[in-house]
Amino acid sequence: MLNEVNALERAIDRKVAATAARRTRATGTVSRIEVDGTVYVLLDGAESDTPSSASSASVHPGDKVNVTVSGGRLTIDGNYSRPATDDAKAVQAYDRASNALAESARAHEAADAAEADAARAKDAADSAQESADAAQADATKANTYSNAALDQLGVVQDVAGILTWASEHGSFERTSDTSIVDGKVYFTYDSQTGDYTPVVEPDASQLSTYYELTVDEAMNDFIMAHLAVTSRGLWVLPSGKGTAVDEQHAAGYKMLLASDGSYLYDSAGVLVRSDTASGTDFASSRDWHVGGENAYILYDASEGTITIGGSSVRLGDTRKLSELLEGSAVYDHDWTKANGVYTFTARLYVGDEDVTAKVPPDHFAWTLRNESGETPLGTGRTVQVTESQAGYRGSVLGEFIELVEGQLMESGGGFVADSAGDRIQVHEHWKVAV
Amino acid sequence: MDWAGSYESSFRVDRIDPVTWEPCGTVENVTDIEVDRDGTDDSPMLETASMKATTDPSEPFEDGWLRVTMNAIQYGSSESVAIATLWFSAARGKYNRGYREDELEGVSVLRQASGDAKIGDGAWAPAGTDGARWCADRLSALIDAPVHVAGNGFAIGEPIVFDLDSSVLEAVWTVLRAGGWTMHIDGRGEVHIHALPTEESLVLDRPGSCVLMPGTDYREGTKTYSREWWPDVRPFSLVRAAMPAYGLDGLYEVRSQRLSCGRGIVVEESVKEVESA
Repeated sequence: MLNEVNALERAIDRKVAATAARRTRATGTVSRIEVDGTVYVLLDGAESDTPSSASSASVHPGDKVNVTVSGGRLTIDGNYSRPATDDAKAVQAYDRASNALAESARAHEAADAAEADAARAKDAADSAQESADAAQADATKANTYSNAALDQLGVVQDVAGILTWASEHGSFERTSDTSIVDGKVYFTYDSQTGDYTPVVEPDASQLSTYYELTVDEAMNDFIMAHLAVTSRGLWVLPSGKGTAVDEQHAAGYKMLLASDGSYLYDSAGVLVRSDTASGTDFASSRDWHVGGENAYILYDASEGTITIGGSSVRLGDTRKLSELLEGSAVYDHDWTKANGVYTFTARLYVGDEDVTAKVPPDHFAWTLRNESGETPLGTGRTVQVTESQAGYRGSVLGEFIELVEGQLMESGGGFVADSAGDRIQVHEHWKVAV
Repeated sequence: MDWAGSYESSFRVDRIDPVTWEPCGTVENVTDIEVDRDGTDDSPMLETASMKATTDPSEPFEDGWLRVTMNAIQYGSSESVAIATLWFSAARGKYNRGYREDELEGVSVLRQASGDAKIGDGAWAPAGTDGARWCADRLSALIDAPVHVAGNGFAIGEPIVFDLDSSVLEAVWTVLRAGGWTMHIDGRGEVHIHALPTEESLVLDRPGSCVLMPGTDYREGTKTYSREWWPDVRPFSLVRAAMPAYGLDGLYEVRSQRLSCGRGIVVEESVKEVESA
């Protein structure tokens, strides 16, 4: 809680601070004088009159007056219509004062104009600064582009297999050329950093300061270390065994470039990968796999096992391996004909086992379809249809009513929905025992 | 919401309908929101703000009233707090990777009552009238934002003749100061005219309570420190501090604030001592 003295000081503090320098003088006409003596003045240009505080001049309604507005008060300074004396000098002085006031107003306007000019000048300067900033940004961008262009040059030379490898393995010597040799790469040497830099556009007048790169010796060393030609083809040995011969027992992996394709061998001399028409041999000593996440065959050398997996592995054209692995049933049926009667028999398999006998017979439904339409034949593991009943182009459809597991059933049976929201008919809850 | 506790915060910028003073759209991709509140005498409009907005070059930013709202989530419950509402216009912009980034500058709701909005030479406020209502009427006639008077107002003691060339806003401040009153702009941009506060809005007494961050800066007659957001503390509010170790001990009046919206709001606050401990 703020005490009263401090609150008062706080308010006064604000009042004093609010006073600011501004135009304070104006002219107007006395509009009325109230009974309490308050003089009202209609300032020139104003719409309504304003009360004044105590006046130092004697005034009457209609008098032209000079006033001062300051500190929340309007004070009449002088009566233009009724000068205090008839003295001509006083009138002159008043005129001079009025002129000075007008001058002051003009000066005020000039100052405002100057301020506006200054603001415009500042805007122009800001704009120039922005242009300079933009130019700086453009210069930076240009520099970036030129660096990128040089990088591009470096990449091209890398692709040609010259620059990077050579600069690491060769030796630099001052050129003895007396004129620029087309296609040759010259370098400049920076004695401070010790760097050799390729010259993008060689200048004949600078030729005596250029260096060139000698790689013969380095190339010989490289060939001795990493390449060998045998009757099978060219061997590349990244790990470096210059004495490699046609046996597959050199340390480390090596690649053979032969006339019938390329081969990659591991350190044990086992073929890891080949790029030939005949494919790749398995090696029981090494892990091996083919395929991807959805379907793969995996050989684990340490366990000696082969795993076939993935959600999209299929047997034949239609059966998913996952259906067999999860123990779902596969339905089929066959038929025989004797004495003009067809006998259809349902077959239900889980894996390789025939589990038809383990399923209640009312899970096998039969329908006759012929030119008369579809006729239900009831349920059971078998069904019989006579030739005449089958009719012209008749066929019998067998349907296995799917097993439903893990569903909440309504009491007394009825319809419930499966996880996809489809309505399914629930029969007796059963599970095929394998 | 326990503002001294930790909370998650996010910020939303809505476009405000000048008639209903309610949101009529959202401005996306706004960053670097800063709000400056200033209760010193050379800042009659009380508020300025700035933010950056990234827009599609084909749809440049349209000037208008924007409201910044902080959504705070704490222990699963959330609260939206309007932080500031100002008139934003693009001061400058640049193109960056196909987008246009505008730097927006915001001016206070009181801007409409200043500048060319003159009170007129010779204008005055009569003695005996309710100064608060007088101010509210003058502002309401000019500004889009709603204006409210808290309490019963105050009677003007002597007629007040306004300085020549005064704006309406300057006249309003003259009347308010004469009565020992003030005004503030809330987060919704609404103007509240009220007596100078006599009760503290915030108590700073625990360095670890996350209300006050370490680091106090002393400038001429004022002290400056940073703290985290606390509702309803603004210029003219009183802050009671009992942290002599930070050089803050006594009752202080808030003079100015800078709100930087990011992870929560960091408030850099300048205060002036009005009562020592």
